Amino acid sequence: MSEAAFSALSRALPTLAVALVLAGFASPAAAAPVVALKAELRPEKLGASTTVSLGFHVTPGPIGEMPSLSNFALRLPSGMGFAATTLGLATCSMSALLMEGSDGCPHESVIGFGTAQAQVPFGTGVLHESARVSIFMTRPVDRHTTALFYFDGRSPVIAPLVLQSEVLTPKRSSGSVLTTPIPSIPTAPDGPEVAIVALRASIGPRRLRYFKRVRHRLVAYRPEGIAIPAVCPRGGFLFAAKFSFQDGSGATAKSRVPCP
Amino acid sequence: MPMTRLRPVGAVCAGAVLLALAAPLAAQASFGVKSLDFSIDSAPPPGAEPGAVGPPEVQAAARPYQVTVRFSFDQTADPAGSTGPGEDPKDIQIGLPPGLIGSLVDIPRCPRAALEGSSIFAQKCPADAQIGTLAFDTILAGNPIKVTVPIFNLEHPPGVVGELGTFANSPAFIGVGVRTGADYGVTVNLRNLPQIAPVFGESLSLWGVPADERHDSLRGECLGFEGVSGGDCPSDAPRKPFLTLPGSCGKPLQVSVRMDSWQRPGEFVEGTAVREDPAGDALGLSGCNGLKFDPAIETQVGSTTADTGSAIAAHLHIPQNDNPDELADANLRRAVVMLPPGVSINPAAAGWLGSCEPQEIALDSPTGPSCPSSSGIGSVEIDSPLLEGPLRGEIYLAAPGDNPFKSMFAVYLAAERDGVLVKLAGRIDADPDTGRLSLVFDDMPELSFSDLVLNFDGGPRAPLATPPRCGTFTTVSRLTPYSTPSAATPASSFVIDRGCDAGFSPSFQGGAVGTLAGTGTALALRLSRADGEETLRSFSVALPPGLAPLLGGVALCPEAQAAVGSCDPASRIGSISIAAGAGPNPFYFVGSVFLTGPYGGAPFGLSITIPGVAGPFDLGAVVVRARISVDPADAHLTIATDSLPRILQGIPLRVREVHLAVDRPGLFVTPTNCDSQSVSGVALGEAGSIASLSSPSHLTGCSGLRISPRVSVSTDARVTRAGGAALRFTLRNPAGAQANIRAISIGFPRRFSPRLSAIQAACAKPVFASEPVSCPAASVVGEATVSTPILATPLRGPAYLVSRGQDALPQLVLVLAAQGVVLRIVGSLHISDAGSIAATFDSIPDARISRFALQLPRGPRSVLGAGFLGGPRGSFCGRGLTMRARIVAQNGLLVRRSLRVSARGCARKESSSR
Repeated sequence: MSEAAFSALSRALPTLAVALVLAGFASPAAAAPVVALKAELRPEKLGASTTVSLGFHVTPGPIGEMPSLSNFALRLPSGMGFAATTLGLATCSMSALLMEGSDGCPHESVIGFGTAQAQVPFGTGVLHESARVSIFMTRPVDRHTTALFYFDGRSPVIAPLVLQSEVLTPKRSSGSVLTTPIPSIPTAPDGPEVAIVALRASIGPRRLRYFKRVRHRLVAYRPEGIAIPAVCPRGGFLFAAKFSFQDGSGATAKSRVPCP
Repeated sequence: MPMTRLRPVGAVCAGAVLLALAAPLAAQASFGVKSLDFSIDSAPPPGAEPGAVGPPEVQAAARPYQVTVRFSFDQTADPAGSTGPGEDPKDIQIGLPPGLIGSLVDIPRCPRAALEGSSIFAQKCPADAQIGTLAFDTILAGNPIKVTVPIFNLEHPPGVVGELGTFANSPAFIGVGVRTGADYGVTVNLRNLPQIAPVFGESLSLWGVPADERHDSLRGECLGFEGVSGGDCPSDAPRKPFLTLPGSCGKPLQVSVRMDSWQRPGEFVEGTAVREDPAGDALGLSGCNGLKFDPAIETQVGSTTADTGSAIAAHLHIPQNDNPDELADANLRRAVVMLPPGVSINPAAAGWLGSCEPQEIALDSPTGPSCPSSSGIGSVEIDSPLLEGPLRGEIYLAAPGDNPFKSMFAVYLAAERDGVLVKLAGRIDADPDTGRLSLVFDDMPELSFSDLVLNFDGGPRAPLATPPRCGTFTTVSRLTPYSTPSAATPASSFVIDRGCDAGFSPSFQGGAVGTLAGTGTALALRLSRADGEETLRSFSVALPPGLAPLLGGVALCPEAQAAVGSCDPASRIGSISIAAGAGPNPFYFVGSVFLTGPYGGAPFGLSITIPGVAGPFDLGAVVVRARISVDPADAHLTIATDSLPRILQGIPLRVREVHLAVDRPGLFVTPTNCDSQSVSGVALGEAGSIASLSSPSHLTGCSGLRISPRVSVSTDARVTRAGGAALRFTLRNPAGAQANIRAISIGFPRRFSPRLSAIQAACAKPVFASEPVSCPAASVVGEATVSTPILATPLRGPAYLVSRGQDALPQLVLVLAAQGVVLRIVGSLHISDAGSIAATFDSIPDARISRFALQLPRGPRSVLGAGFLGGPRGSFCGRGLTMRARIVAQNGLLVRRSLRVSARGCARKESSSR
């Protein structure tokens, strides 16, 4: 999704939220936030290795405040997963990220990039934090493929954040689920919590360069990305996400990528 | 009636008496008392021979039929072998037993001229004036003979209690006096006895009731030259008692005789005799239990207004029975008068009060008092049936500690009339807790009196003050007679009904004496209350922020000395005066104020030492302590006293005014903020009332104060992701007349950003509020130092990040401490959306600061980081760091500084850049 498209989506969200409420799809709680999800595949070619771009934007409910996310679970389309990729040939640890940032991780552990926006409330004021996002492969957790989302917030406050995201393999024919618990992030003791309000991230070979030694020379190459199934289901590839918030509310969102 | 043995004064052995009296004179000539006999007789039975008497009178307080003193003189033999008196008696003083009194008031009197115109055969005094007889043994025509002459009550000149007289060849006058300074018994003084013939002995008989018909045979013309001549010579005078026996029982009755001779005037010989029964045992009186004693007391106040100096009168009334056929009332031996609670010694009187020394009152001397007028605190009036009018005199304050009781408080009463001088000492007991007064007169002389009135002076110098509240107040007493140990307890009440409920709203003025901002000044605090208002117990005042002492040069009095009021003069910082007492002219206790170290939980204290010398009283030094606490936010001082002295040695001080002046030169400095301020506080009354205090404070000259701080900032060249960045901010103020700093705003370099991890580790607000040291270590992000002449050592302490919860960004709070002073300088953090961070300390105490340094070091807790840092580490070298500082003075002056931040650890060129 381009910047312009994302921006347009953002502007359309209030209207969308109202529409969802009127349609009865909203959370039972009137204060439930509204989340918009956008997924893209580059390239959009059946059977090809691709880069999956995901974006979501959280908007507070009509009478609510911006809630803080507590979990983000993204279900990939059936047949899409990390199994056939060469992304993340190396791994990075959370501690390395916290201590040294992205520089502390090997190039080959990077599996994607992105940006994020968060609201950092301090009393009546709110700081709008922008962060670069880097996504790293880390050691599997409970034999699940696991990635680390490193949010490198630097302005207006230096606020690094690492989220651990596990890829849960589906038991049936549905797609893999990328689940990301988000801890409570208070700005200060007894203070309000940091709220991630938007994320744009791409996982895949696009803009990635790995290196391998060929005859004593380092040669750059693009790793294999996520494979698009050879057959496109009716209606296109469905990305569905479930958002849970610290206040107990939740929201779901879907995004379809039309068949090529 | 048996003869009593003659006893020398002070001797015990009767056999030595005659020797004692005669022997010393025998070497020169023979003169002395050969025998002395003393009898008190009851009336003879009906039908007895004229001149007969009844058995000895033993009933106490009875009117005796007759009291007779007989004595004979030593005799010598002439060359012819005949004997005669050695010398001719001139003056004979007969001391009657104490308590045996004679009242001549109601007895008819003989003009002196009549006596002087009499002859031994033709008395010209009226028979009604006869009160007894005088018989003497002499030789007439070679034959021993007893000559009896009447004794008359004479008209006497003013100034003497009475005078008796007779004519025996020539007028003879018999004085009557009271033994002042001794036992206050009556002394009959036969003066200048005529040398009509050799006198071998004399017999003086005084009648108890002169008009009694049983004396008719010895009255007037019925009294022949040699005694009873026959017939009845009744008196036309009313039957009034002349003599009354003592009202005390058991003790022997004794007379004394003291006499000289015409041959050796002034050389007195003395003797005593005790009344004895036929068995030779001392014979006292009995029947005391039947004596009436029904005293009353009345106390009155000159003013019924509460809490004011007032005249106070205590009136003892003891009924006197003058019926000659009945017993007299018992006499008062001991009086304890407890004035009502609340009536107390008025300290206001101390300013003019003197005291009477023992030698000035001379209780053991018959001379009049010579007490200074300043020791007079009232008047006394004693009404006695012995005298035609009341004895009047003064109440003197006895010298504290140097009086018969060795007590702090005592009085002397000295009253006189007609030559009768009564001097008494009374103890005043003042309850040490309540000040309630008890007047105690022990062993009062056994003199009949019907009224004793003690009038304590009123007016502005009244020695006593009325109760501080309204109501009915009761004087109680315990009056013990001579007759029995049991006491009567009459009481009396008076009402105080004016000046009630005056409340408690003391006036207050306080603050800097000087009005020029930023200069040395004295500090003065003055609280006062009106009469009737509740007494001040303690007070607490908060000085305006900025009115601060420069303590660096003052030696603090150690606690051990401070507690007992023995601080060194080097610690003295001022004075105090406490006005005490009721009325318009209170007494001022003046003392010194010393600065101490920690006291009562406060970093500093005062030891206020007040010598308790008030007039003649030395009540001991009083030490009042006070706490000086420093507000942690704006550093204003609060001076809170402990309880002021309420009562000293039983004197309620009734504190009217407290004036505390801290006037050590250069100690206090006025604020540099000329906004209207005030000294405020609270006063606590004795009854628990609370009054708020406020006194406005105005300064001038703030606009003339400048501010010229020098500021420097540095950081470390090295910056890391894990350790963040360092920043050191230093501000220096030049000495001199500078405005103090009110606010400092530090805009951190743009390349510095706050670290959320540090903010998240801020100390929770409630934890910090209760005790900062309980905050997690991670909340300490730096340290600060403030040097100030106010304290001897710099204030130092950590810089905490303190959460404000949902309200706002955490604060950067500097907790600075030195010498027990703890200050919290609060800085607000601001973070802009652009990521610039600033800290603003906008409530810096109005105090001289010579140096302020804030260090935010690198490390895991560092609150600062470098936003540009992509990797684990980086450097500020060569990045041209700048920042801005905004400094606001207390007088509003604004100074902006744009500062280059030097980076320590860079190459030489970088580190020296500024």
